[in-house]
Amino acid sequence: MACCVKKLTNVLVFCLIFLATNAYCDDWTGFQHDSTHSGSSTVSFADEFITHLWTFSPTGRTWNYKSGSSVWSSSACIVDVKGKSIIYAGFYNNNFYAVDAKDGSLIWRFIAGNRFNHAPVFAEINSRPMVFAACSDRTIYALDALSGEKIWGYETLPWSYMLSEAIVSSPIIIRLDNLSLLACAVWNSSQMPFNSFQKGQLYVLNAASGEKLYSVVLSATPLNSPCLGNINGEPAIFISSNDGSVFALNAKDGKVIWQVILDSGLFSSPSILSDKQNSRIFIGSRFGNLYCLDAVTGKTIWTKKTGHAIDSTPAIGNIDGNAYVYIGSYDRNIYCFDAATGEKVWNYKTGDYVVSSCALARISGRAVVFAHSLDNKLYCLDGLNGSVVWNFDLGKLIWAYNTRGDTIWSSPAVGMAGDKPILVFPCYDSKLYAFSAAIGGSN
Amino acid sequence: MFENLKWKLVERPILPIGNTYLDAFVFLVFFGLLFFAGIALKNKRGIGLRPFVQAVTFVFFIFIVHRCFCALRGTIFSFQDIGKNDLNVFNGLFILVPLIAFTLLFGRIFCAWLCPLGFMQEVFFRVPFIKRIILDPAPRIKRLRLLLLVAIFFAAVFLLLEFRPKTFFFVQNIASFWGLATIILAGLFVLNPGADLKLKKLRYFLLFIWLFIIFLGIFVTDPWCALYGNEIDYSSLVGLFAVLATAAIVPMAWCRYLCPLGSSLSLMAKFFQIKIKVKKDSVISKIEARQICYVQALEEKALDKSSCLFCKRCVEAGASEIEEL
Ligand code: SF4
Ligand code: SF4
Repeated sequence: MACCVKKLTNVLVFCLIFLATNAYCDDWTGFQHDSTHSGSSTVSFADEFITHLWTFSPTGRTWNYKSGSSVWSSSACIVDVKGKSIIYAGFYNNNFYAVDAKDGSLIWRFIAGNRFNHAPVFAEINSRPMVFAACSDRTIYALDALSGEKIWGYETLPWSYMLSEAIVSSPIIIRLDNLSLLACAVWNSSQMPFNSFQKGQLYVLNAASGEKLYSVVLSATPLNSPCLGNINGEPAIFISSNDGSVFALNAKDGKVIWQVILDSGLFSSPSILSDKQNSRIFIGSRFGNLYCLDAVTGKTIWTKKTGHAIDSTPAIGNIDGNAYVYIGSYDRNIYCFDAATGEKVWNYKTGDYVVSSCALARISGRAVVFAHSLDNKLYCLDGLNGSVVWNFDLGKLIWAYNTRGDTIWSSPAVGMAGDKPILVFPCYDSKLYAFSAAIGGSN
Repeated sequence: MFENLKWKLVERPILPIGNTYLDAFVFLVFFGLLFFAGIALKNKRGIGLRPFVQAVTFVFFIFIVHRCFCALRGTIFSFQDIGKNDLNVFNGLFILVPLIAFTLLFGRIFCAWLCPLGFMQEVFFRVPFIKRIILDPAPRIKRLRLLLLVAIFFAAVFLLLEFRPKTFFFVQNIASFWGLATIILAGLFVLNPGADLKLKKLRYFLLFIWLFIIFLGIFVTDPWCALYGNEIDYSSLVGLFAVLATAAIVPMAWCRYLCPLGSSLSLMAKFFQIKIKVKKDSVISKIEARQICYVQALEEKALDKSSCLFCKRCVEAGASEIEEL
């Protein structure tokens, strides 16, 4: 009898583990993992022998760099769609790709009118898996995540000769009551004589139909990617603009709750940390400050100065009950700050500017940070002390030169390829690199 | 090592323009200082106020202004942004427009009265011990000065190699190379002081190269980026080190031979309303002229107008007079 009970218990435990791992999969659904831009995944690699798994090279052709040029691919998202692990990323060649996370083979592609510079977002809307991406052709696209079929496209401005290329952000999904909203920033400008304009506008659309619910003009300069938090229990959108402001808006109607002007241009998107007591916003500035702001009032809780501009979006990790903020700076360092006090925990000096954002994951349970530096290396550092766990040489830039502060660089993402943890980095050589540990890992 | 150095007392805009990080306060103070300097310049007794204006500007730019004062790069980039990014255009031009206006009215008033980098170099000339060494023509001292310049050159090269990024594109890091060039040109001057005028002419050619690089869309660095923008960037730090250390051996070598902003202001100043000329009855000797004018624009019987910073020290010493046009 006792033996039977033991066997039954074992079967039950196995079923529970099986159900748990299959029902919950930590997808990297959009820019910096989720709508709070935490950049933090619970995926754990089994060991630190992370090796190159595959390379996705969609185009044999690369064009010359020009000032203001973007990286060749947007940051990626990695999701489990009906049991299939798929990576989504837009590219410089006007194509948006869905790639099999296991082997890097192409599943489908969608061709738009211009390049994709920013990470897409994945969501299931009315049980239909959909992927949303904003394109420099001034349009926000909703595509079927399995087939690549265009479900809708929202053109923010009709084409005219005098329009410049739009500067867009990564979209986020907001679940409000029974409605799924898509929030995305688009900057349009026209050089029409006597009627020129420059508008950085936040659009909120019905994610299912593409119908515009509201839009709000926030700046004359481009806006960075919005993130989602809440103010006194109400959903709020936080967004920063290149002219130095951080805005908090009511997600329901787009009303500005507060606006604060920081020290210089902002090219970093805000990220949110919510705990029992309060919500805090973290953002870096071109003056080199990392700000921690109170989400309710916008007041500064603390600032920390780095040696040079910060364009990367802060990643927030929770290690052993303590929250840490990870950020890269043009002073070539990757920093870890205590989220509560702003105390510097460690910094690691790389060989060049660190512009892209960090991705947090685990290796054998140990918290690690994946970060890219313009010294052409992808680093994996220990989350608690900054020691190098692993690094990968990505090879030289394919351009002779990139203008400082003018180029969009993609960031690493972590997810699962079936049962195998995977690290994906869309690189500046127009290729998408995937890495994994020699032996599997867990979610 | 220096990452967390922070010396700015004010970091947010005091009078934000149109809800942006642009600060009308910076514009107003800059305009006010130029205006004050202009009045003081025209006033016979105003010369005494120069150190005061310089000190105020120094404190203002180093500790209060938290923006890079890139009058050349910022201007060219902002012209390229017309119709595309009005904020950048405004940002680039709102310092430049008063600068041009006052240069046309009063000559290189910015250099003589306001520029913190010029002020920092000038300070060496005001230390009697250093001034004595700088101006001593004895061969022994000349050798010592050369030796010091060689040491500064190697120190700058060492810093450059030590701190440069692993993947660096040299044109972008132009401040460090211009810094090294300052040391070399200063060395040539020490070897042959007679070549000063020829070396000064080089700065227009160097200005052309500098502007051409910016036109290509390259983000050139300046030695003052570190000071004004609080950017701990190796290229501007190496440039700054080279400029300041060289100024202790050859007075204001950067201003004389290389400064792109100074060179462009000197071109503009050709059209300005007031000129300084050596008095007909001046009996000033070569040595005395050097004691007075630290950019060596003043000679016994002549004055190199393109190098003159318009500090009026020679007027005060009775060697020159102001000629209103
Ligand atoms: S020449 Fe250049 S460094 Fe010298 S005072 Fe003029 S602007 Fe300043
Ligand atoms: S010539 Fe006179 S006014 Fe001009 S820089 Fe020399 S001392 Fe100053």
